[in-house]
Amino acid sequence: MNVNSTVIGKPISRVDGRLKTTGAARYAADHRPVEGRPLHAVLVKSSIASGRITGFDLSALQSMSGFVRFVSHLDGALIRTIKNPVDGAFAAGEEYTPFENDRVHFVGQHIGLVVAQTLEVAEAAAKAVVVDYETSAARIEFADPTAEVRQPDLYNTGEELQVSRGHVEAGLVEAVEIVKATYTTPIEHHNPIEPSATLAVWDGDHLTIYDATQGSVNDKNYVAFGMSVDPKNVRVLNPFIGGGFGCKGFTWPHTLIAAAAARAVEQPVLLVLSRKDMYTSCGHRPYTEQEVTLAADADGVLTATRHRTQSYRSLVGDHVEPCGMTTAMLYQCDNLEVTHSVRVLNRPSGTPLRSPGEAPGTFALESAMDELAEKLGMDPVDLRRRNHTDIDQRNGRKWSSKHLLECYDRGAEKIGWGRRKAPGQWRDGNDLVGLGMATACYPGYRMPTQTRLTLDRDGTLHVGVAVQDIGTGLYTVLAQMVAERFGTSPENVRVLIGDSDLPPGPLAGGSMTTASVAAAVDDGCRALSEKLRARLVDMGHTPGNEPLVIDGGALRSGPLSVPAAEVIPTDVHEIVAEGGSDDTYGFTGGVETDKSFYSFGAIFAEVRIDRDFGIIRVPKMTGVFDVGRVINAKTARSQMLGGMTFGIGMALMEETFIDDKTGRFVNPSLGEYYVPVNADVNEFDVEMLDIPDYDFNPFGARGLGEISNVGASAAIANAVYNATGIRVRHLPIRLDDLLEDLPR
Amino acid sequence: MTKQIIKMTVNGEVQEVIAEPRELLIYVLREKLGMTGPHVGCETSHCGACTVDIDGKSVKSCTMFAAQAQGAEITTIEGLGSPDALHVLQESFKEHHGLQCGYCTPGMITRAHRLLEENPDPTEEDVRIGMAGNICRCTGYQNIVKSILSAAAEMNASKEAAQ
Repeated sequence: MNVNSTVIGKPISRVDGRLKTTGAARYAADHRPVEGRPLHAVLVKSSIASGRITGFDLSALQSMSGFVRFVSHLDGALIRTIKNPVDGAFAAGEEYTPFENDRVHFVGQHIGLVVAQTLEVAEAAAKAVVVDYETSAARIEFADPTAEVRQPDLYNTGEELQVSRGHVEAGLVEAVEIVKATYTTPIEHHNPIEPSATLAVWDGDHLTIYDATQGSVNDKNYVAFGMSVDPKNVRVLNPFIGGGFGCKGFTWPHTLIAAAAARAVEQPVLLVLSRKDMYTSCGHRPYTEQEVTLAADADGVLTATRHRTQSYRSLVGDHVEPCGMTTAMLYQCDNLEVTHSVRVLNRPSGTPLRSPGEAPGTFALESAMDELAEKLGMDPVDLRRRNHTDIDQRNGRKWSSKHLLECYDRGAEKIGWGRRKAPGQWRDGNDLVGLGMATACYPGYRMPTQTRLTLDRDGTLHVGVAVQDIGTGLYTVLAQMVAERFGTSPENVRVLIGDSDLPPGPLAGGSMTTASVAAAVDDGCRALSEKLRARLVDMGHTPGNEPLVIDGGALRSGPLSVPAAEVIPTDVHEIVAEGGSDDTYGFTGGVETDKSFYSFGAIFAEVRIDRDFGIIRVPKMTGVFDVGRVINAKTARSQMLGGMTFGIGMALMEETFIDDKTGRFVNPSLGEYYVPVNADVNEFDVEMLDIPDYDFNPFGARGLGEISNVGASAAIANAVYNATGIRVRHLPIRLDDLLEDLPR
Repeated sequence: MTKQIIKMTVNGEVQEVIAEPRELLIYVLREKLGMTGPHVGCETSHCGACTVDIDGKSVKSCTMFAAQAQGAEITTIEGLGSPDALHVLQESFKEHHGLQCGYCTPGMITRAHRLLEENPDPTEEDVRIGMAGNICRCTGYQNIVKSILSAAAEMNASKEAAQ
């Protein structure tokens, strides 16, 4: 690795900027079939939480001009029954097959699809479908005593959800201070601005899908299975995705329904979910209740830790919000118990939402640490230092690279931690001012990835891999990686992603794409370089040991310089090499290694609270992160700013309400589900330590994006406490949580 | 439903479309005129991804009937610039990284364009308030504000130079 690279780490403007700023970037719903217009589809969703469908009355639809077809479970085997997981070929958000039978498991389940000539007709027709149900008893309320309670063993990463080490009771006896408190986090929805959308186009038994998905390969395998066609016959295209944050990660029924409908009507079908559809169609972060017990001796050394998470799952989706995973690894503590339980409820399914587990889990853990520091009379940063460890507490391994202490130092300095006063003691005009902090962390993941590297006769390099840029900057990052390896400019590299026909890569989740492609690109570049050297030798040249440079239309090695047009025979147009890595890191069953991989950080927040009205503002936030090597300073910083802003939403605004009687989400719109807007945000400070982790991959990047959302809500909650002396143990924190007790 | 002919000027070109009274402007722009730059995000006027400029005002085209645009002068993101000829604002969003996934960006830039017409020399606060009707879920807004302020400065400098 060239540490003085002119490419890696530089703030290079994103290569897709021209397309995205002019409306020329086409998202799933912007594509049109080559011939003609697609038919438009609108979902019919269940209005009951439990029961069965006894019939559909479609009489009002038949007379609608432009109505084409209604499809439902009555159409027989439109979709092949899916048992999830199917030999690991794909991961679906729900373990049931759409339109499989007449069963209804939650409000908002897809039970039918109207296809029409125009969207207006499809919408009117969907509203006119009368559904008859036979309802059965539904378990909706979180505390429903009749709900089945499960204690799942493993999260979807393979990590254990029930962890025990040492003797918690003994640790409690040793302690001089104990914090035991229950923290809750609400139902949250991803709300990417682009709703999920699928355009399905059949050509004989070949299917092309333009899909708003975070994983084209996963999507392809799921749809191929459900449609009973060879995966080779399915092509998923997702060159641009309008954000996802997890709700487009695993595949969901609507994609399969659109494909099935398109086959049934023998025409292309475009299904765009409405914002309301999004609330029940592709997951949410479930509500959590977390009881945290922290015990420490007089020096602040943790003697016992217990983190019990209760959440829920739907009848058909197995997502567990793994809140205690962070607790099991972060601080030195020999006596620990982490448990997770889920109640099975008639609610829509949960799914990972940006930093699943870590975000709500650190709200509880890092709030409890703040409470413990208060009880011990210790500075909250000092308490964390006191319990810092260089050993992964789960398995005794050393961290590949951990610089968390520097994150604390830099963050404290940047926010001006020294200004912090005792709770409720800092006034500025009519504002109560407070500072709070929290530790952030997120696992390092890497998945098998293959790439294709190509050099054409112009001397332009091409890199192809079936990964996707959900907004993170991957187009640019890939161009930089290839440019680095061949000593050229990113402008000289064409990036092909967002197409399942390319060599396979992982879905965009777990902040793992950069680390995964890093290893694959490195190997692909090596393979191309070897081929090119062999070709040069065949031509009678003697390339030296210097790295092969491809720039200005020529191949150079030391004093040797040969135009690409000469190296590449006229009859082949290009030289192609494939490379990749089959290694998995961070998931159970991955590469055997004596190290653990995690990213770390520290978030500091300043809040100002209006003494009369309780309005909470966050004028300053500082995040310092140890995420390995940063590939692009501009895209990375933006990710972090976005994640911290996501954290403000989580801390102060975002909440989906469910009606316990009917099982309906009450506020499924951006008018009633509040997210941060321009006017809510101020200048935030982000710093990346930029220390490469070459144990993780040849570019030293560990991945980022999710970590910046971790810890932000706890930092803000702790700052609210510092400003007011009021400890709020639920999210979001709103002015009515403070109003009555604000210090006068 | 009785269809009607709607005549409007879109990005400088006169367009005649036949539409039902219930058809929303955003769908006529996207489905009938092929302008897929403006996006649908929320259907309730909150996110601003569908923002277009109508007779000198920023309008959320997801909550306006096409019939209401009879005779209107409309500018969409496609009318501001193209990938080969970026508008100053587009260049600024690209350079200052005022976008990530890019889905909100057409509406964001179209609104910013009108904002700078309304107030050519805005403060940061003016920008934040003036852009409050456009939601970005990715960037955290910092770079969007920076992009708009930088474009304003550049546009003002070239205006001065021209005088």
